[in-house]
Amino acid sequence: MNASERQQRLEERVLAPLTGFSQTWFIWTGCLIALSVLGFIAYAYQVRDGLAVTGMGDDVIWGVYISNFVFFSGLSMAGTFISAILRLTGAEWRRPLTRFSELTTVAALSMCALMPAIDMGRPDRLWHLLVYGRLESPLLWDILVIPTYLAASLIYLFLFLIPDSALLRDRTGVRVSGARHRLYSIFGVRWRGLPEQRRRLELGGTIMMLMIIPLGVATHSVVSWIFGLTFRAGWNSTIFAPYFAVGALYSGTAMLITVMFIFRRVYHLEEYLTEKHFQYLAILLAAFGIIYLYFTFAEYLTVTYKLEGGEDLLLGELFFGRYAPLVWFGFFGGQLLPVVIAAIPKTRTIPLLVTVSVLANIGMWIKRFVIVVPSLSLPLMPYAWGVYTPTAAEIFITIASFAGFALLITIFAKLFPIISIWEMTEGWEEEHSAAEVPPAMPPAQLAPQG
Amino acid sequence: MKSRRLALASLAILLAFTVIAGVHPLATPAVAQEATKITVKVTDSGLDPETIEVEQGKLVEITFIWDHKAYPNEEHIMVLEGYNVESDKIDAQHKEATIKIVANKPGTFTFKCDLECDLHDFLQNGVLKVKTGSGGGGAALTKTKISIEPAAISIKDGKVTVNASLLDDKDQPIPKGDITFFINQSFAGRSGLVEIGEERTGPVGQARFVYEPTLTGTLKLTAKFEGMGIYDASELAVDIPASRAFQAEFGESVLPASGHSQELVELKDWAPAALISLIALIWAAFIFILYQAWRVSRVGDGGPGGDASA
Amino acid sequence: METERTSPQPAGKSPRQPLSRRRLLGGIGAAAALGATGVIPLANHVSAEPEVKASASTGPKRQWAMVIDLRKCEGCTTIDKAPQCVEACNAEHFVPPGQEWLQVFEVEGPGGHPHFLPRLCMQCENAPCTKVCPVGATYHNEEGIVLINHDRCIGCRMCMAACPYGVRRFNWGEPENPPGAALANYSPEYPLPHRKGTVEKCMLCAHRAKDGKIPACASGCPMFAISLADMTEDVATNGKDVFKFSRFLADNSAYRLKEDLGTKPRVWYIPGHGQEYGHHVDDNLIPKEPRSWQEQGMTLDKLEEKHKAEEHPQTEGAK
Repeated sequence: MNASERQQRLEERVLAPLTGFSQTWFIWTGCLIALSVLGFIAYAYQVRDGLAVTGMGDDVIWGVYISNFVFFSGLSMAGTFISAILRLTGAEWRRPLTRFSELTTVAALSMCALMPAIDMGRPDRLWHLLVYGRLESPLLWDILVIPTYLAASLIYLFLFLIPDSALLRDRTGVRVSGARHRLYSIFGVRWRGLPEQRRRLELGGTIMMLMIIPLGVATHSVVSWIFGLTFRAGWNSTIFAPYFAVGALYSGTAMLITVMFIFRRVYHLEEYLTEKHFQYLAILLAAFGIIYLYFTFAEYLTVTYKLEGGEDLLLGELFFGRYAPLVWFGFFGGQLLPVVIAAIPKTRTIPLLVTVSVLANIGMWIKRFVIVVPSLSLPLMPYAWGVYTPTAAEIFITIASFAGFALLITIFAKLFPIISIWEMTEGWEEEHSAAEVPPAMPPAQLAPQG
Repeated sequence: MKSRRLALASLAILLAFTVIAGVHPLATPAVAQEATKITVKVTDSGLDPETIEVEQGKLVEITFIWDHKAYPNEEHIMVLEGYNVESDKIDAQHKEATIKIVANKPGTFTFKCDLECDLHDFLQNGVLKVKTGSGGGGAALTKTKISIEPAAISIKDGKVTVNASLLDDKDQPIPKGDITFFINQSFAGRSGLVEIGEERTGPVGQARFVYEPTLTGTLKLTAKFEGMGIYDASELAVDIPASRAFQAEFGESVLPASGHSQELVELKDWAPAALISLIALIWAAFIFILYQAWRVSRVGDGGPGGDASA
Repeated sequence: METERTSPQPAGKSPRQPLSRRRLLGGIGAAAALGATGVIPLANHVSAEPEVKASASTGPKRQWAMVIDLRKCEGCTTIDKAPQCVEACNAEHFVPPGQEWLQVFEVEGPGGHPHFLPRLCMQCENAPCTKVCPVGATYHNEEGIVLINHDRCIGCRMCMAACPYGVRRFNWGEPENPPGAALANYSPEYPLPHRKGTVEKCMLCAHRAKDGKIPACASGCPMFAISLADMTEDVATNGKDVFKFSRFLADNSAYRLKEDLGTKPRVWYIPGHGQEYGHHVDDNLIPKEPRSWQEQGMTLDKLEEKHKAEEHPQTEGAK
């Protein structure tokens, strides 16, 4: 089977879900939209009555919103990061993974960027950040870095989408759907697969790959510094930036495994997303997980050994007190178990891997929660511990954010191929480099352009 | 040292009150009075005797005699609380020291060694009991006065130096007298005498006080002597010119040294600019890349540039 | 006696009285006038520069500080009342119910010896809160007081996370304002009306300090335990006595809360040196719950009367 035949086969498989809407799709998307709308209603209540509708108070000033913020920023880390690193190192097995990795990043980062705005007491004054922004504030670093990273991720996603959009533009033609055709025309920016076009795309892509890795690290660092630059016990730590970055890679990789599994199942992509891909991602998951465990150990050893100031109270509460079930579940279920399962070749099977990936992400969300909330509930002065229980509004908004995350991925997957066709083809072309390969898109197939 | 000063100051106020209240209307010169002489030995095991009794109104002389056997290096300065008086130092060389008081206040007063070391406080302390009644006393306090000549006030580098002399009624200097200095100050709707320092007179009865003014203008400086032993209280107010040398800015106040190191301050100046430049650079790269992608469309259009490159 | 001291005010500015009748009426008049044209009166906008530039004004600037004499504080348990400082603060600022800008804690000193500790904003020189504010809404004024510009605050609560003393409070919902507060002339030095979704805290009664008055808590304290100090003039008063600030601190082993954090607080505590203070460990002294301004029946008119009564302070000092 030569490259063009394989491309033909891939196109059939990958482009099939783009056409037609199944009942299941409508139900799924309808549910997501409904949940998002519920979240909007909850947010409308919050805007009307203020943050009083949340469970936050003068002691525990941040709750699940900020936990979500950190969690989503973590999810966003792995996608482009892994895609960029694998592309730069020329790992062949990346080819079917890149598209939905980047998509996961964009979707997670969009939700992540929303969270601080939802958490604000005065969302009507968001523009103050632009007018009065102080660069000395760690929060403004977030305001600078997260949109930059989001823009970078979008551009990165867009760049490698150009050839596929062009392909779709040519395949759909005006007669299928005018709107869609126009969309693909815009995203395809008159791509014809010419060498000059390829060169330019490669140049842009390489610059983006080089920029997106430090930007990803910067994002997680600045997120961690919201906490790390305060005096609070549990936050006042120098390793927070790398700790958060590694945690982000870990949870992001776990989310990639989950997303890959779902697409493989729903879109029947077993041929392309093979067991091998799960195995490779599992190795990455295990590696990041081990580094994360090492950081966890280093973080807690140094504070547990010294038991400085309020740290002893905090650790007591974390390890043996109110938060102990969460902490130990997060540790064993969310960190240790996934690492063990992913590290042992025998247990590295798809169902087990997906289970521990979901577990890892639940664990990581819990980990974010027990970083944010207990430190805040620790009394700074001799008063009682702060109490925090999320209210319905917070829970609805949190659910809505997850629904929004899924919805973004769903909508994108409806519009664009979830596996990068041109990248796969490129790989096959390289495989069959001996043979004379015609250009991917002969000029004859070009749709007439105005 | 601090505690002694505070004790003296607080007791001085008590004494001043007593004096002002006029306990002794029938005062006769102290010299005319036969002094009640008492000797107290300072020994290894404490004071001997530990309790002495005198009658109110008597002129009392207590002589402390150094009498250590086992501890040849011991040294003491004896103080009598409540009468604000302190002896010379006694040790192996100078074995005797005498304090004189006019026992005008009835009550029980502790005398003890004031050197803060070892067990002095516990061992070397005794009690003076001043009994009321007989009225046979009538010894009066010696009048004193504080004098601050205009020449005794000098200003250098914004600091005001005042030489106050403490003299008795025969213009003889009184050494070891504590002079407290006040200025009149008003703040937040309240005004009053604000204690700004305390100095002890030297052998020639002079106390040198240095004041760093926090105000500008003519300040009223009050010097107070609270009385001591056989000496009566006295006070004097003079005007001193003052100009505040120090100009406080935020974070640079007279009190605690504060503010950041210069390097950090400078870092604060350029760091935001660097950060903004970095972000701007990144966004410039974004625009460049998007431009590249847009240029893609120009390439195949058969324009002169496109053909040339292809 | 003539202590010539240049006014702490910048030349040409009269001392502000944020709530004088004239201002209130002026406000109403202006509101009426503007109501016709449909323009909303703009609140005072102060310069919310986080960094204060050295100004070459004529006189020395006031640098406000505070001393709290723990030897005197009994949490008002001995007079069987709620802490009067807190109540005075609530009444002065119409502190939204549920908040306390000043709190009295029972603290264990060395050896488990209990005493009371009034805790207000420390007005740190190296303030963690002003550093982290993303919009410069909280800042130091030239007199060293940490203020909040409620017109600018976006309610991110980063400052609350940063404050190591937990003094900052947040208006989670719509705060209850006294009637007429909407017309009060807002300034960060006297933030009225309170606004939803913004951070609140003690600002050392900057508005009163300007008028030469000690803070409401200090004037409310029946024990004269709280003193206002000016570090420039090196003088302090508790509303009764005037004393030299530095001398008082040095004489009485003053300390600051969490000094090791390097925040350089401007509030000093006096434990004394060896004097007995606090209470016996077996005495179960629990300060009563302070009443909010509503429970005290405070109104703007009453506050104004109170201010008027304070206009004529006794000038008799310690003499």
